[in-house]
Amino acid sequence: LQTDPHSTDYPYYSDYASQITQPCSKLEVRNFTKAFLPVAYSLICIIGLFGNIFVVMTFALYERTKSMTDVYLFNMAIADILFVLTLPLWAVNYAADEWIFGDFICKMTRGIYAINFSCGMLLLAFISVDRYIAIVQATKSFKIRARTLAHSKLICLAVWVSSILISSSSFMYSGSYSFSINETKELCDHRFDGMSESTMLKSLLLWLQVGFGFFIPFIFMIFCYTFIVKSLQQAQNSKRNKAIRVIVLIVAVFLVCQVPYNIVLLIIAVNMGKIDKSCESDKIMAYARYTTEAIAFLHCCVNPVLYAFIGVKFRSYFVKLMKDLWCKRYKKDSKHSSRTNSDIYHSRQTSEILTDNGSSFTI
Amino acid sequence: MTGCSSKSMVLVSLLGLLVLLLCGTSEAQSNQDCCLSYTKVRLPRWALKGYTEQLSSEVCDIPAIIFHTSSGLNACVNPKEGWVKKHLLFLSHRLRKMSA
Repeated sequence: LQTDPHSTDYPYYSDYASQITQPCSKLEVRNFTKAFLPVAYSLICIIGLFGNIFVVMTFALYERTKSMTDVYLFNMAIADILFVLTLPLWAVNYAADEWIFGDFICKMTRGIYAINFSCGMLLLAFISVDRYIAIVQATKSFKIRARTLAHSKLICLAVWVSSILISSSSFMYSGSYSFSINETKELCDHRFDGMSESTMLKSLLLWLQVGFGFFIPFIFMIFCYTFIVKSLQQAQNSKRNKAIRVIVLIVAVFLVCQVPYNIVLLIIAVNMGKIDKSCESDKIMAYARYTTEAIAFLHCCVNPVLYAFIGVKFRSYFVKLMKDLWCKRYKKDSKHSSRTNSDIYHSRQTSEILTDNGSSFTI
Repeated sequence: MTGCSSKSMVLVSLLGLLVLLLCGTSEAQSNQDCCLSYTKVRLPRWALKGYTEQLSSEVCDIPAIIFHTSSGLNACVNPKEGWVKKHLLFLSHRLRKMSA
């Protein structure tokens, strides 16, 4: 066998050694993702759960006259809840640097993640359209809004079904598998087995993610909110300035959260499959991806604050909910729990008196 | 204006159908060790101990063969090159002999 010529050929061989290209070691990046992502994902999960559960509860318990935006917000809160519920699994994945939950949970997690990501983005677009109709097309809006409201269940069903269809590739092409380079390590990721154009498919997926997750809601928002601000500027209304401020805030938060991540995704998509990338720049891209991704995920914690808590009516409902919850506990302690139902009923009646026909969640 | 929301609905659902089988957001991992480029020189056959295959269908972007040298180095090489194919045949032959 060829094991003996060590001593004689060593200088010759060391010449080769200097020219060898080794795999790019991402140990630093792994140390970073091990420390940073579990903390970031847990925080986003907790904050996101709290905010969105309150939106869902307030909506379910107190809201009677629902506007289309309310229905969208309710669905968005549900999508956000499902989305943040997948984050603990990713936190464990990065902390352990391995996928330990098996193939089925991998497919489910990636699927739910993708569905709720696209669902949230579609709903952001629809919310801006609904507000556009309500404010810019105010004269005709009553009829249209009544009609869309009648179909609200159908529209939401369509949003969910199209999100599921959009995300179907995540179910099909993801899985848990042992990494070919290090077979002791299980990964949960896309896998295009037996496909010759897998590099092209990967970059196509990134383009589509940027297109669906960013450009479509972005175009809808810019179009609708530009016209809303224009028509608000013409109106003589005391609440006008506050409304404009809220819109600017919504667009600004969307941009701050989504633009960095989508720029990184675009750069990755453009460079996908190129040979002779430098290890240093690849590491920098990995850091950039994980950091901007966490910022983008933060968006679903901010949504309830932006869309719901800013509304005066929602806040009053929220205060009522907190009071009722507190009373419930208090009454349970003093064994008068049978009263809580009539109590909620009572507060519903009073809240009905307080509401007009507008949205309780919006500006 | 019924047009606006129903038109946009149609637009969105059409786009959704178009990419039905392909699209999907991905939480892809970028923290694994991968070959990013290929070694430009030929490696002598006697220096090789074994090899691993890097599949472009998994987390890494490009297909590659990683030759493990007896001095403990890992060399990324292009699987399409003739000498790599020959070395691979030799290595798998030797492995078969060893396991037999």
